[in-house]
Amino acid sequence: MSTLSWAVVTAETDPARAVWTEAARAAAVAGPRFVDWRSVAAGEAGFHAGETVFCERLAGWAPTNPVGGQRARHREFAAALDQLSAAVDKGGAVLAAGVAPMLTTLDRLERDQFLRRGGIPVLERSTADNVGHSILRSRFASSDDWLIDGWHTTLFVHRARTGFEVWRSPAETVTGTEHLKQIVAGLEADTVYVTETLHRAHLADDYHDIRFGLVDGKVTHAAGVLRERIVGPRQWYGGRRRELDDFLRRFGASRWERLVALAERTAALFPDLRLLGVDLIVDNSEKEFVFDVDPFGADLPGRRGEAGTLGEGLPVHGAVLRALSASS
Amino acid sequence: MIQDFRRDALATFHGLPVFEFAVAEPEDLGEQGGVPDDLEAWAFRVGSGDYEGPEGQAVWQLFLSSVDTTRIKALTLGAWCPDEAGTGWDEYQAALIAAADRFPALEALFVGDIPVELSEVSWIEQEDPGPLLAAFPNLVEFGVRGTAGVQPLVHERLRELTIQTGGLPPQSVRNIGSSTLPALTGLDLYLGTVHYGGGATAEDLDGVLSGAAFPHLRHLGLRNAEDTDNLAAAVAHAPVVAQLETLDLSLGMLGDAGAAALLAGQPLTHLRRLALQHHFLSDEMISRLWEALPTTEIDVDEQLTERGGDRYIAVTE
Repeated sequence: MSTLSWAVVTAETDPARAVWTEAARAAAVAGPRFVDWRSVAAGEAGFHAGETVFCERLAGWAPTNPVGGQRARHREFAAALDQLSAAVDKGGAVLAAGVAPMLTTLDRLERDQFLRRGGIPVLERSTADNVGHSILRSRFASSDDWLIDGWHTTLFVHRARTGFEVWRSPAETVTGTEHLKQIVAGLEADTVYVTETLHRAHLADDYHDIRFGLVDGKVTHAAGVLRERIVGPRQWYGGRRRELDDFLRRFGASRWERLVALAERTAALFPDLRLLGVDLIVDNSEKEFVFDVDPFGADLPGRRGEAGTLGEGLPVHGAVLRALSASS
Repeated sequence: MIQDFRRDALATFHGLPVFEFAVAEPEDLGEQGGVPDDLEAWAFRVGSGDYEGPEGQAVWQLFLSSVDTTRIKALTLGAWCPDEAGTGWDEYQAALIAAADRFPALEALFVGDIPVELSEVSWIEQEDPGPLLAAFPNLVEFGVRGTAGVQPLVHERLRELTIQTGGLPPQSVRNIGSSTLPALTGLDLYLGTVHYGGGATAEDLDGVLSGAAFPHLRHLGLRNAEDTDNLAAAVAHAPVVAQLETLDLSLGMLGDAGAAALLAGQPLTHLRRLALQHHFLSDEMISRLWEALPTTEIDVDEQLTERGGDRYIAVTE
């Protein structure tokens, strides 16, 4: 077993701790040293010389009710990252993800402008007036994520004694133009990020985006992601993925290679993010856009790496540990 | 209680996220067995998931042969007949009962967990759940979606019972009220419309409303009802209310008359939650409710207006 020196900064109850522990086991490296975000905020966290430090979200990843407040939490996360960076520098450790690029990926407005400048295709901006025929998301993704795609949403307007609030339901809610406009109005303070939509590729009997996991700029993992249908709060990507087989059968290897290349070109713009998730939205012919960039790594639970890649046989986070281990 | 039904299959059940097991061929499971390692942390929906999917019987057989079912705590049943998802529940029930001894840890069961895309709720022809309850004496939570002729139920440990329909026959409602469920603390009934066999009245609910049927009841849901105003008037004087912590009259046709009757009846200030979402209340009546019940969480989402003088329930077809 490798004696890799590494740490992960998380909230105490973040399920990501289990993900990292399993990744270490799979990659045959020593388990992580977990550091609580609270100790970073309190200035009590110490890091060791040569240690590689990953971080997760401030408050873990759990659906919250009510929705909103992402702008403030983005600011909190930015401040926490600065504190973390200072503590890591002080100890002579190394952050596995640069602060600036991480924040860029988590601000979708800034991110898309950055990607456009880098020659990466992204969906054009639209307006909330076109609600129902657009894709609406929170601008800031550092603490929460939601998506209104066409008429599909799990958000609804809750009438509280103090006024109207936007809440999240575990299931698809009753939607109509007025309902969606109320939600958009309720989230205005956080900025609703609106793009045009795309008629998604229909693979394995459903509409999918393609999610790539990358380590050091190279694709290691891939799977289809359902967007236009409400699925459980935790998706599982174990087992055979029929949509990728379907993609290859329908569109051929050359288009697949084009998707891989697009994901890797995207990652190349973020050289300071060793672990990256890139979601592509693709249609049934030739249109392909970057839909999301995840600086915490692709969320592909249960998925093992593609054959012939650095992540072969490993979960997403195991791949980056293998890379670290090889270079240590 | 179980997540509200409007159109989707369950995303969570028994406090667990739902994992869909909808494949029938071993090669579709992949290297990792196709399921998470932490079996206890998931509720499993087993059955066909789409029109062109495999037959439920084949999915069920693969589930039994490939998953350690002794660790499963929560189970929901998807479609048995993918192209006619409202049917086949007699076969699925028989298959589950035949395998009952393979689920020693099962605490929660939901039958008919299919979205409206596969079958409208009123087209789901369920079986009487009695035999299932008898086969699983350790259940604490049970739910069923679809219309069934429910006979009086008997179960020693069941704490939560949910029946989601577009029309629950009045005789079934009476039978539920004469059931022997001594541990029951939560009851959620989607009463539905007369057009799909519903139309239960306060008289049909007498066993429940009197408090005699379920002495430990803490939650009562009389939901998706056309006669909500009259039900509210009956609830206003029903002995069971004094023991409740939450009262749910949502998804139905509640209007100002029903709410006024509620406020004119016995005190409700002890209620922790009063769920009224999908209603036809005026702003003035909502204000009166908030004022009268200052510490009760009152859900008045989905304020609706009548269509040409008509009201409508949330789950009908």
